Amino acid sequence: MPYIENKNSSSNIEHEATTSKISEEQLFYCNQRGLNQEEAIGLIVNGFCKEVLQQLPMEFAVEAQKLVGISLEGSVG
Amino acid sequence: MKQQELEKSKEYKYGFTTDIESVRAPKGLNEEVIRFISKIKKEPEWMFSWRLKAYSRLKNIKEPNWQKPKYPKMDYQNLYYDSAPKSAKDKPKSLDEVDPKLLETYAKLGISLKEKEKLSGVAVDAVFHSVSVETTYKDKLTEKGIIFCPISEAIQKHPDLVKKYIGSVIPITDHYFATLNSAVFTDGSFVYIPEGVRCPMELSTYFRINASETGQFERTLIIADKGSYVSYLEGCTAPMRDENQLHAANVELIALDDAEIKYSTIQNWYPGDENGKGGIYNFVTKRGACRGKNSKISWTQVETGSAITWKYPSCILQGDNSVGEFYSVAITNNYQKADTGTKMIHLGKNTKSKIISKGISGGHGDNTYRGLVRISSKAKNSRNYTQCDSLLMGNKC
Repeated sequence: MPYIENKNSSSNIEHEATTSKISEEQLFYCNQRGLNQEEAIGLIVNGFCKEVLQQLPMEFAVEAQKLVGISLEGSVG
Repeated sequence: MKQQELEKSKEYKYGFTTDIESVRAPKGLNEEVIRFISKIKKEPEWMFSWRLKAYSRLKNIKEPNWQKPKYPKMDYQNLYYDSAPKSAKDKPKSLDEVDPKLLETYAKLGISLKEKEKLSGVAVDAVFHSVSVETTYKDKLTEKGIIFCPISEAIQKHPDLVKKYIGSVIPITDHYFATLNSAVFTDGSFVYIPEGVRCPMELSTYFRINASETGQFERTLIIADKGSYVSYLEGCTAPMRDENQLHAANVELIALDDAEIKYSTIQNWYPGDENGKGGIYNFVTKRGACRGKNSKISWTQVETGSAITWKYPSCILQGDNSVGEFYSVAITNNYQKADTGTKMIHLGKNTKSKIISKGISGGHGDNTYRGLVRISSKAKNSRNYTQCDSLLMGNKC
């Protein structure tokens, strides 16, 4: 639900949004290379979040990556 | 009135709780409780009257109800507004005096207050039951003139700074939860970086909710004076609990000319079990003001916990050429709900903001991005770039 209010003509606003699912093909690709379902999801999700996780200071980044994996455990349907 | 109630935390089937006797304010929300909190913190008169002002306003406003994740109405009279480990009444002077049970809990959480910190270079201001037990690395920071201490201490030792800035970004006339926090906040962190100083290490705080039925009301105030830089980490863990716990913290950031503040959060509160029972309500108000020219505030958050996350870390870009950034990952699994995003208010000329928001929903999770970009008529040549991506997992969300 993005709200944008602009009262100035010299300003510039961009908005991008995507919604996606992990595709069967992506999973198959990973499975083929010996990763199990959980590992594959972890890998894909971490890639998805990479831009944000990179912003974290070192000590936190490692922890965050693990956390992302843990909190999605069992969500593969 | 010195009505003190001693409560022993009960052993709980899930998670771990530490049975330290708590000194508790009487249950409920009224002037007496606020007086009690203020007294136990040995606060000066101005702070107490500030709290009262917030409380009198609170009586006239209602809880907001526009958010997507609804929750059962809370009975604010049935909560404890302060719980401090009893042993903190006379503040420990060194690690040896700290309650060994507290240390044990920290060890379980993987926090070492001892020399280990030196290796990782992190100064920890550990908050347990809302009272900061020990601040490490003080000497090294003091050398540079940096103030990093519990806010209750700052109120006593640096009243001028606190008086000048507290409530200047989140006024007591703000929304319900922010005002509630202003009235009853128990403790939190205070950071002041003097002019031209680059903080040599990451500052960090660990929050933890332990006593049941205790809402935690943290107050954090970070001030970066001209040309300074600071990076602040906030990490949250909570032991498992069956009851919903409210967490309504206020975080205020102030960046003056050419200053930069980087604020990172990893939030991992107890999210409730797989059936959506229990879990913590995280209704936090985080707001930063880029007061000076060329100042910068950057929020980074990783939200994985909480039953309901409802927060919008925001930037007010007042100074010309100031920059606001917001990076977020919000993960909801099972029955977790998140309504999060940011607000970028452009007031100064040539201000820039960037928003990167990633939402991941698994199970029955519900994830909403709600953001506001407002550009005022005076904000010439300002720019904003927003990107929000969602990833859906499972077929139930």
